Amino acid sequence: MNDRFEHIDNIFREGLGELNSTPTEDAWENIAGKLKENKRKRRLILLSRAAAIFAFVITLVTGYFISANINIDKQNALSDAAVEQKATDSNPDQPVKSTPEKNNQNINNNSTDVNPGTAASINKVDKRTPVKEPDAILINNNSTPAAIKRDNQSQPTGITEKMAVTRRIGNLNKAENKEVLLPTGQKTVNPFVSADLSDNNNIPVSDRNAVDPYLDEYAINALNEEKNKLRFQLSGVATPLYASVESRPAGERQSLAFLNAEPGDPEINKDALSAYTAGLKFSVSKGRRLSVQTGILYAKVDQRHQFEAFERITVSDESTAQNNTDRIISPSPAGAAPPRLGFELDQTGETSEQNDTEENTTRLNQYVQTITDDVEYLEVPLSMRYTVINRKLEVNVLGGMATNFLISGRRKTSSSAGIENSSDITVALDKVKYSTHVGIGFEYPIYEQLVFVLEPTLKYYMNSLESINQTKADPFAFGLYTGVNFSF
Amino acid sequence: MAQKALYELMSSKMFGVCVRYSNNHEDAQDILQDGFVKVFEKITQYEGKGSFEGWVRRIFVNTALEKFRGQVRIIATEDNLLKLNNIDQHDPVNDQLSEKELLAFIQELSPKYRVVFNLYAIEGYSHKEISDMLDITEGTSKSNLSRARTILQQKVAKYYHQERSVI
Repeated sequence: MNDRFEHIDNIFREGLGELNSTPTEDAWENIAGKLKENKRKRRLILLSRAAAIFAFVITLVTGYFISANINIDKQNALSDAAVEQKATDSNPDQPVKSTPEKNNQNINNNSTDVNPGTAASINKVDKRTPVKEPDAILINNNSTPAAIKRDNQSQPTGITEKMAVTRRIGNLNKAENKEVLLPTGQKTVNPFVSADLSDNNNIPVSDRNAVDPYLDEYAINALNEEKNKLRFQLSGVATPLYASVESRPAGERQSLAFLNAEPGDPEINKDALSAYTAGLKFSVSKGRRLSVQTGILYAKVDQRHQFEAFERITVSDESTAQNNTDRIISPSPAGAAPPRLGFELDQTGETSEQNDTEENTTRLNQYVQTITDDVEYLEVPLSMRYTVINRKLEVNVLGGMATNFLISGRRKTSSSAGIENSSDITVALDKVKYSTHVGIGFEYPIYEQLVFVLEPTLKYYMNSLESINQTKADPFAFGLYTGVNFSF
Repeated sequence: MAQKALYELMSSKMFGVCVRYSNNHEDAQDILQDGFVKVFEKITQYEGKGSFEGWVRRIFVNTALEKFRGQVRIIATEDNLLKLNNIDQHDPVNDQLSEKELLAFIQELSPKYRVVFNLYAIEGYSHKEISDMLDITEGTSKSNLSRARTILQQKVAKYYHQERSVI
């Protein structure tokens, strides 16, 4: 049989192998226009990515300043309480109400009472400015002990002590209830247990009457310990995704759909796209603010499409009609199908079979065709997470990238005519996809180490779902990751 | 402009490839445009291995396949019961067939047969390679090729008979 066909092969190979044909004159204009349009699209994508990064940075910076203000307010509240407590402790009969305004006035009015160095230090102290260098406290304490008057008449002393207490509380604030290491090697408990300064007994004797030089050591050690401690979190999350698909070459967003929207709904252009993600995330943080998060997630994207179609049944021989049937599925002219994930439908069926054999007879059946594409991915994200608000309700901003590995892609077709077919469309899809994401995370403690997590996240897929088809899908996706964190 | 110069140099040859894989001028024009856009956007990926024309040609073949791949798949499932008997075994005289006539015969084939015939008989790909490119089985590829050859043979023979009867 091969010999029989070799001749026919040769005829066409020799006749058409080097076939030249002249395209229409406007072909180059179309190509140039398309190149220009693609360049513009790429520029837009680049700009949108830059805008996303910019927005992320702005969010990060804003978050930082918001959280810094919150911490300062907390320190001030604690220091006020501490100073009042100290004053009460020194002179129980004359409780001192210390306010920032009073303190500042007192510093100015009584500056002659104090050592100039101390005064200078005091003047530098702004209630709104956290003291950063622990040495400043030690200088006040060690170099000018005489200047610190401990009776309640001397307001500058009160301020100095307040400064010291503020400093220590500021450092110890993050290390409540933690053991700290003394310079002697002994361990002790943070003297500001739960910052409960209203109970005098909770403040060690050493701290009631004087500024203990060791306290700054406690603070430094506690802070260092806090900073160097690694924290781990394991999260189980799941999310529905809201996705948008762009089809090319039209360049218009073809379908927007939420979850299992019913096909046929004119609002969604007869397309339905549902997606969800579920899996485990693991995060490591050093310190309380910044953490790195990765994990493994299963993502599934389903897209359905329904349209009117007609079936052409070509029968080459009446006697073998049952066996020799070629089915061509074509969208009807009135209800032209929009581009789809996976493969194009046969849209040239009208003429494709007419010339096969002269004996062919053709029948047309009109029916409703439904196509469902199921695509599965394994997603490995890598995110940076920054804690903006560190209270009972923790607020984080996060951003990063994810790699999506294609697991499978299947297309199922079914029709009211009873024709059902299933095919593998994996080959038509990109094996690896990359996405960027930004989001905000909310965490609320449920029980001990368990924390409820809610993360609205915006994803942008950097390459299209498909690699070979004219129909391209570049979805943006919005997901509401919901789950539970376990900290250890 | 270098792009336009390249286009002018290769457009007629590549349009020849496009029309072989299409059954109408519009489709061929679409493939030509998509193919050149790909060539210009991916030209940096050409590593100098093999001829440049071969690389460009490959892009055009792949672009054509993208257009018809779905049609090959959808129809191929019904294509295993070919009747190869009673085929008129005429020896066509290829001198009498012009490029235009040969092209018309190929374009009259359905996409499933046209694509496989082009890939195997004219481009020289093996059934294994075709099955990988189109994501069909080797059996389907062979079956489509066989059917394409049979149809073409009938058309050539019919043409030959008509010519002889005129003479």
